[in-house]
Amino acid sequence: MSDLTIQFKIVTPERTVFEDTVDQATLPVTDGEVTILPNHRSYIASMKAGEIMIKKGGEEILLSTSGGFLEFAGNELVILADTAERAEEIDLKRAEEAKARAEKLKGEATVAAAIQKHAARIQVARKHYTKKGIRMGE
Amino acid sequence: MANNTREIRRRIKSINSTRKITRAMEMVSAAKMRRAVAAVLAIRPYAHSAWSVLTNLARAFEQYGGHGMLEVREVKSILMIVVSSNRGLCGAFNTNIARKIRYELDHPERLKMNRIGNKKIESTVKDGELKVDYITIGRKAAEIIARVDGSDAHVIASFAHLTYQPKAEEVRPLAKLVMDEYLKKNYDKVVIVYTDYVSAINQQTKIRQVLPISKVDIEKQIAEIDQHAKEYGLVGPKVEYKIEPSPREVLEFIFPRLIEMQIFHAIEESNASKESARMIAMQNATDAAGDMAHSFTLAYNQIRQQKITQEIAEISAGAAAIES
Repeated sequence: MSDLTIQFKIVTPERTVFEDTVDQATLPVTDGEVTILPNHRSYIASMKAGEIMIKKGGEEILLSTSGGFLEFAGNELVILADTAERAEEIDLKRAEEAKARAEKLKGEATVAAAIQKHAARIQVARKHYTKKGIRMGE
Repeated sequence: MANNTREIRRRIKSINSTRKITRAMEMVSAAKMRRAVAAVLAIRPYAHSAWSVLTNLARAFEQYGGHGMLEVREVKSILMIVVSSNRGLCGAFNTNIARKIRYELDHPERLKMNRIGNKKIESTVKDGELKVDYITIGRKAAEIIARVDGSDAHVIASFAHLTYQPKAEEVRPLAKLVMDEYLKKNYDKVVIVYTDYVSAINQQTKIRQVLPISKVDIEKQIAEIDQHAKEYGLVGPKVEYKIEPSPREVLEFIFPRLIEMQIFHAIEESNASKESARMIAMQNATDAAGDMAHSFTLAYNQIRQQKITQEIAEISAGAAAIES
């Protein structure tokens, strides 16, 4: 194990969602998925809706985001997200309801973005529940 | 006499219950203000980081002068976003906004000017022919505009629900509307009138340019958000970045967010200002009600004492009449 780490921070206009020293982070960038390890080259990219997976020690931390952009330099990773939530903050049932609501309104550009956002939230929440062994109703 | 005391008692009672209400409103506003101030502070990390990314993209920025949102035109029409409150009872909050707008309309030199850095573009339009349309936030804004700019003033959209603790997402439709209008060249400049929260007793009504995006204004805003902006990347070391998908696309992604952030920030500032203005107004009302209740109590006691004195005088006079 190296003692190299990344100073990780994810902020939205409303709050700082998560801030910690981590070993690696996997992010949904516009062109696919990128895993950033310590000493990665300096990097700026825009992000789409999806899940962010952080590894710290043996622990995995999941977050959902609806998009944004990231800056990595000098082992400091800053994510500027439009919205972001930690997995344990997401209420799966309500996320599913929100997605269903958004799907009903389908057609507008903003709705497509909302659907993606809630889909990402649901995915992240499901993983979280599975990992913690919490059973959800069908 | 009896009627008079009853009247005074009734008024004391009503003043006291009004006082209870204003006291409660004062406390509610104090709590809301604290939350609103916290929300203003919460934007800071985002603003810093956004600025830092933008600085690092500066080279791309310069190659990118042709972008619609950076385009500086001669000002013929202006879109003004006015952030007000939904309700009254907040002191001079809305009056100050009205005063600010009236001043800007009467002295449109600043409104008419467009600048990039130090370069200024003067408008050739006569003062009277400058077209100003509005977007309102908060119900009071429509009243203000009708009062200041006449009832035929054109309000293109109103967002009444944004006044209390908006989410960044809720600002998005407003920001999008503004950007679309600017890109369609319906307006040559977009400004926002809001109230800057300086402290609980000091709020300043301000006007700020939203579009075209001006580097000077962004710098100013960041500097105001935090005077230590320099520590956060303005003078960071030059790093070669790998930029994905491309500088152009990333910029296209960042610009709308800058606009959103600016509008969101203005609303949050106004929110904090509004609540503190209301808190002070209610505090004054509570104090005034206390004074009033006190003077009425005094008057009531005087009348009561007079009545007693008079009765005693009458009784003793009667007794004296019987004895003699």
